[in-house]
This record gives sequence, C-alpha cells and structure tokens, in this order.
Amino acid sequence: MPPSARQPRLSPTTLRKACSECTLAELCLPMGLEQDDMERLDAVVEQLGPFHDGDHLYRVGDEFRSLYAVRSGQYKTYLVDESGREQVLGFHLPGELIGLDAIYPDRHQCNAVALDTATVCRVSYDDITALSQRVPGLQRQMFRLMSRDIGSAQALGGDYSAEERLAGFLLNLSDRLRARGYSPQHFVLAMPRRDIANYLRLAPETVSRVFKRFQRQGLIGLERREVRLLDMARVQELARCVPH
Amino acid sequence: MPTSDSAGDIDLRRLRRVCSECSVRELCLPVGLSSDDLDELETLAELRGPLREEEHLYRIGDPLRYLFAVRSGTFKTCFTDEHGREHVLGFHMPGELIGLDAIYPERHQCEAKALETATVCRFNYDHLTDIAGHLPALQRQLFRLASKDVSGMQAPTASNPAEERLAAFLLDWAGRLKRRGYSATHFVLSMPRRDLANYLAVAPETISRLLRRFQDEGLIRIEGREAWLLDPEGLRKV
Repeated sequence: MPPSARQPRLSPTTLRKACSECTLAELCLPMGLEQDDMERLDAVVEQLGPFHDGDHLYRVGDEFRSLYAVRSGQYKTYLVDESGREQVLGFHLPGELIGLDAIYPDRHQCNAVALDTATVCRVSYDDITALSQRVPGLQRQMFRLMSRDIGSAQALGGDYSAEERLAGFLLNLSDRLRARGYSPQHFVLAMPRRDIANYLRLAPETVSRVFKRFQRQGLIGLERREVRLLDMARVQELARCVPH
Repeated sequence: MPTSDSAGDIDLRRLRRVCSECSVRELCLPVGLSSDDLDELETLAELRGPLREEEHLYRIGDPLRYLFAVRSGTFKTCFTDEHGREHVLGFHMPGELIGLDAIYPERHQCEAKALETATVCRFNYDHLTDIAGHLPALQRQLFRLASKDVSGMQAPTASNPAEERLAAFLLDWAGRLKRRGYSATHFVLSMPRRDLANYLAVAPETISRLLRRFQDEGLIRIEGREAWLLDPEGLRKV
C-alpha cells in the first residue's frame, strides 16, 4: 500500500537510527542515554512527515497513544472554547516533546498543528513506559521534560505587563534557538502575530504596539516575521522578573 | 524496657502506614499499586507537619530534594519578583503533588506556603524515581500526576473576562473537593481574597464586586470564607 498522504514514512534504514543520528538527541528524550539504550529507543521511534503549514498532528479528544518529538519545523498547540475563541497553549521547536498533557486523561487535551513544513518522531507511550522500566535515564528524562513544561505553564500565570511578557517571550525563544545551534539574535517568528498575542494573553493591538515601541527604542529590529535582538541587555532587563 | 519497646513498635508500624491509612490515597501516588508496591512506597513516605498558616514548605532556590503530597489543609505556590510583586501560581489541596516544577532546574522555582494548618507527606525524589524504576504502576502514576500539571490550561487567561475566570475557578475548586469526598456545594475558600485576585489576574475590588454580583444573581452565597454554590449550572453558563 502506498504511504498515506497524511503520514508518509521514511525508509526503514533511516528509521532505525532515528535518535542516535539526530543532532537534537541531547535536548530530547535520549538525553544522557548510553549507546545501547539509545539503540533500544531507536527501535521504537518512527519518523513521520513532512507535514505542511496547517496539518494537524492530533486534535482534542483523539485517543492518546503516542508522544511526538518535533524534528524539524515548529508546532503550535491550542484549544478552541465553546464560543469559538482560540487559546494558544504553546509553540514547540525541534527537540521538544508534545502530547505530554494527554497522559493523565488518556486523550489529547488540545490540538497540535504545524506552523511550517515539519517532521516529527513518534513513540508509542506504552513503549516509552516499558523502556523506562529498563532504562532509568529515560524515566529521568521524561520527568525532566514534564517538569520543564510545568514550569513554563506556570510562568505565564504571573501578573506581568505587556512589555515584560513580550520581552520574556523573545528571550525564551532566543534561548531555545541557541540550544539548537541557531542564532539567538536573529531569527524568524514562525507564528503569526495574533498567535503570539493569544499565547501571551494580550490583545493583538497591544502586541503590535509593544513591538513598535521596542523597535523605536532600538531593542529589536523587526521586518515582517524576522526579528533581530539588537540590545540583548535591555531585553533581558525588561524580562528580568519573568521566569523563562 | 518491654513496654516502651512495644509502644515503639506500634509507632513504627503506624509511621509506615502513611499511605494505606490516608483518605486521599486514591488520588495520590498509591493509585494502582499492589499491597507489596504500597509497602515499598511507604518506606519513603515521611509525614511532616502540622505546618501553621504562612509557614513555608520550601522557598525559591532551595535544591530539589523532595516531592510533597498535600495530606491535609491547603497550600499556595507563588513567587515574589524583584519589584516585590507577588505572583500566585496555584492552590493545592490534599492528594495533590507539589514541587514537580523543580525537577528540571533541580531547584525550586517558587515557594510553597500553608494557607491554614496543614500536613504533607514528603518523598525523597531520588529514592522515589529509583523505586518507580522497578514499580511500573508507581511510574505510571507519577507520569500521570506530572502530566496533569503540564498543560498551560490551568493557568487562568487574562483574555477571558474576569467573571468567566472566577466562575471557572469556583467550579474547578468544587470539582477537586468533590473528588476528595467533600461537599462540592458548600466549602471554605481557604485563600485570602487578594490571593485569589492575584491568581486570576484580576483586581481585588473586582473579585469582591463579582462575588457580590454572583450572590445577587442567586448563583452563590458567601459568608466570610465560606461559600455555597447554589446554582452550579448557572455558574457554568457565566
């Protein structure tokens, strides 16, 4: 059978080395694993994609079977409430795991959609838990990754000004990009402006206004979706109170 | 002396029954554990307290040594920023695990304070993950409890109107109490009004005004810190 259009698969040879040959291994599930353990993980990881802007990985209510690690591109997780309002929960870069919030209720609690061309690695949750019993490092990394997500969910709950929120957001993105070997100073915002506003719990006009003010003050350069952090020290100063 | 020895034995045995005798064990770490697994978990559980109102369980920057399960009373997690502003992150009731956010950075990222007289069980984190490594049911429950806190959905969103946020909070609070066998329609809001306002990112005056409005509309009744949900359906429609 030809591979389905929605989830085309790469060849089995590439599959087998999903983790050991991935440059993101040290940020993702295999962090700190020995070669043997890495190979055990390779055996249960499937690579999927490429997906395109607007393709969903899962939707609210889907049965929870697998966790996904972004391999390339970016994903957005979001919810739509009863009155049709969207709420953005997060933006996910390569090496980040998504679907962790579905473990508890056993169903996906949000939608995950590609923001640009993207590939993912899929691991069944049953395989992860079984492997975590044999590989303590994997269990430890699972706790670490969930803990990190708990921390960032909390950070949003704080009572911050729009400037602090936006500065914190830019720095957070910059840190995560640096960890992945990209430029921390000059990057492209994969998400539309209204998604950023929604994620930061701000009005879209406020985000545009603050972006303009940051530009005027020489903190950042902005051209469409391209951002340059021109004065890192002042952005850091603004975001000082925001955990990121 | 024989008498004190036997008294000691009993105490020791009681100490070890920290989980099996706990009223919230069906929500907390022991979910799904066999009695042998439970015995092993109980060798780690240390009962602490009572803590008095305002007493700290941990502070920002403390190294992560333990995860804590609330056993009685209510805790608040919060942090104070460099401008001296306090940010309330959550309220935690019996059977809920706190300290999970410290695993990744290996230090506590916020402080946890008792809102009233409270007791907790603490579990050494390294030992807990060691035994979870050979007790699949414990590992599964730990993953489940951590997963529950993962999504940003619990965080109230300033993009929703204040009355929606307050109504959602009251319903969530009632639901959590109900799962613990308490009344979901008549309860005590153990947090001061200003903490609730801070958590919901609403001005304290707005909280007072909205509580009065909900009362006038017959949705709730409030007396001091006691609350009655008179019309949960109505509250859901807010």
